[in-house]
Amino acid sequence: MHTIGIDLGTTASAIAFVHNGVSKIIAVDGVKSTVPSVVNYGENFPIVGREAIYRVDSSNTVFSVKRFMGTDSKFFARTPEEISADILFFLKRSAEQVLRMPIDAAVITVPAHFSNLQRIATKKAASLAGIKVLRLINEPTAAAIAFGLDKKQDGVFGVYDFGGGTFDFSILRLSKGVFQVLATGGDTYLGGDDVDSAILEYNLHQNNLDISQLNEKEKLLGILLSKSMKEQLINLEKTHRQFIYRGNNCRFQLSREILEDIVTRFSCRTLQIADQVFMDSKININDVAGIVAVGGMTKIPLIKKAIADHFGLKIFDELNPEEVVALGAAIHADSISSRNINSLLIDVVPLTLGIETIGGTVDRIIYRNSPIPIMQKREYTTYQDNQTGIKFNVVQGERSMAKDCFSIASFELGDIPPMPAGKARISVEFSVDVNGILHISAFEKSLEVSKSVVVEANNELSNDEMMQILQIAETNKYKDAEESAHVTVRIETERMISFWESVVQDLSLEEQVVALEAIRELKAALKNDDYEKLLRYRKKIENIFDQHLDEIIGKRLTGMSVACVPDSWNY
Amino acid sequence: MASMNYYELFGIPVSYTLDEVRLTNIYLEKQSVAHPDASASLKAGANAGWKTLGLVGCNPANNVVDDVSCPRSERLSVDLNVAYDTLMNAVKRAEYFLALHGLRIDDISVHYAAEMFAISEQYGTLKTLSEKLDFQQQLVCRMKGMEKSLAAVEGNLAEFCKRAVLLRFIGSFLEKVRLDAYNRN
Ligand SMILES: Nc1ncnc2c1ncn2[C@@H]1O[C@H](COP(=O)(O)OP(=O)(O)OP(=O)(O)O)[C@@H](O)[C@H]1O
Ligand SMILES: [Mg+2]
Repeated sequence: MHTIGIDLGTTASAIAFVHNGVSKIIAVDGVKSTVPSVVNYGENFPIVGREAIYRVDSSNTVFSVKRFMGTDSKFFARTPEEISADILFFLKRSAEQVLRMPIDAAVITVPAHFSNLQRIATKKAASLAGIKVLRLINEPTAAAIAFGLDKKQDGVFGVYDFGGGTFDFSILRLSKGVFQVLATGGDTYLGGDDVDSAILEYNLHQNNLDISQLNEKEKLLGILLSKSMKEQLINLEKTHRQFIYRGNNCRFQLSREILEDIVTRFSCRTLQIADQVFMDSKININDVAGIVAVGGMTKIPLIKKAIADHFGLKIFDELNPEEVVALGAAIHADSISSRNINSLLIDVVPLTLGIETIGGTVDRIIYRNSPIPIMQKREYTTYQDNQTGIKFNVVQGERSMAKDCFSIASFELGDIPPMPAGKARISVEFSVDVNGILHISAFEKSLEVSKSVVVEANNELSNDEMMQILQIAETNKYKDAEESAHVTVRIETERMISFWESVVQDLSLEEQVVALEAIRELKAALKNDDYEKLLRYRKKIENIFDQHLDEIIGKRLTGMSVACVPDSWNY
Repeated sequence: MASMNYYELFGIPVSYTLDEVRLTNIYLEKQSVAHPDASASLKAGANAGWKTLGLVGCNPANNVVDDVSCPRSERLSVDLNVAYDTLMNAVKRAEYFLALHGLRIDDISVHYAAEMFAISEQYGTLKTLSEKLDFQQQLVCRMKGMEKSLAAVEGNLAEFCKRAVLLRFIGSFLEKVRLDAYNRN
């Protein structure tokens, strides 16, 4: 069985696989080891990744869809699950293309703090993409696996994962090949995206503008420019961009000092969460070997310094923070599928699960940080004579009132035989499986011949529904995945060539010469079906155009040429 | 089916006093065989030893004996997790330990009314988040102290029931403080 690990990130996704016992990133994109989690629906098929950014258009391009998983929002008539499925399918197909073999199954990572609904949505996205989910594992745990196995070092570690959309902090113990998660905490709406918005707000403010004055296109351009300025400041002291508002040029500028002010607002919150997780784990900080830094945001030196100063612990950052989650997922996929466990994983429930009782309070059934798989039962009864049905509202969260928690499912147990109040004995069983997903069953057991009704969380797909979806997926766009992978890459490359040819005149003369020559070689590679050469030249060309990404995006979104030359600019 | 309590499951004496390190080692050792991911060969060898396993919790909520809904391999793992989770938690362990003796923590809070009041009072005066975190840390230490004091009287169950009231109170107060800290920012 061929398996891969997938890090389905908010802003960037990555895939890895294990070859000869070593986990490696599958670089599909040529330029970077990660694929932007961006989908463009401008054509009658989805375009994913870097190409989607080249074609950016606020009326058909979706960014950061992961933030909407488990909600019922829609983008261009598509659900977050469907859009994530398009990303997953692209990743699977790319992996198949690079590895030249069909992929059967994958371990997919989710933020540790993801709720039950968000996990179910992720699993559903995978099945829409025709991927068998070996396991959903938590991102910080995956990072710890990659890190721990790399180091072959027993001990207690903290994992600080600050990504594009989410923040997670977990404490794990690795001993004799078992990874035991001791506690976890986080915020699924705290990430680099929020920093980007804050940078945009700052720059609008500097230009006497306000976010409410921008239309969708301008907002998108502003966010993308903010993100790119932020990323540039690990190398530069300051940078700037031209931002076009209603045909007028505005200057966006950012210095490292201002960026650090903005970032600090968010990193303070991450450290508060981390403190709380330490408290929950009951681990003495002196017993911790160090903190593994994960997620693109930890590339910012200030963040690493803040963690080191706050805890007085060593920071482990030898592995690329954008790759480490996928690397760990691949290792876990390999060890599950080969049944050759050299790393057993015992993770925990991130948020308390319970049932709303009369009066609106929560009866907690499975507590946060309980090890999984786990199961707990409760017994309830009727409160009225001859009551024949009982309604259950299942909630997730730490608050004591149900209305303050997330409602994740509700179901009714009917057909209770008539009897006096308080006589019925309704047993409700919660079990959280190794994927961190809750299953519920409830039955009335006072009668000798007990009637049993099994209820699943209402967002879980029934087998029938699942079959139906798989069939549709089969007959539609996901047909013959392995067969068509090669063809798709050809088509994609042809598309890219015509795109590059259309923007090549925006490059400098020297660049144009190199790019045109490379495009010529690429066409030859296509003709001869020389895949190695094709990848080599694609990479070469993408590297050139990547230097001008902001200009390309600016032009697409505003129809005007914008210059972005940060180096030559001074205050 | 022979039934085991949580202590027997790990082969440790029924006592409120707990060697956490030892328990954890035994737990991990057993999980590396019982866990659904553990290798098939390992499990086949080990199954013989697990045949008689069936858990009886005295708290109906924790009673996992008659479940049929999850496959056997996962069952063992679930049982170990439930048992480990209960024993590692000072309050849950007190409840379980008492339940094994057919007892429960007293409902009367009058024993420690003054202490409880003092804790609430003190908390009410705290303003900053870091003060609240420090207070949480103090409560955690206090819990550890309470755990020791309970262990010291485990031979005297009446006294144990009484002291456990304060332990339980601090446990739930900690939860409240934690929530407060989490929600305010
Ligand atoms: N050099 C850099 N400087 C500053 N920020 C960076 C840099 N490189 C990446 N980032 C930021 O890191 C974030 C992406 O990190 P990462 O790829 O780990 O997140 P993700 O996996 O997509 O999201 P999540 O894990 O939250 O779902 C983005 O906000 C990105 O702008
Ligand atoms: Mg990530």
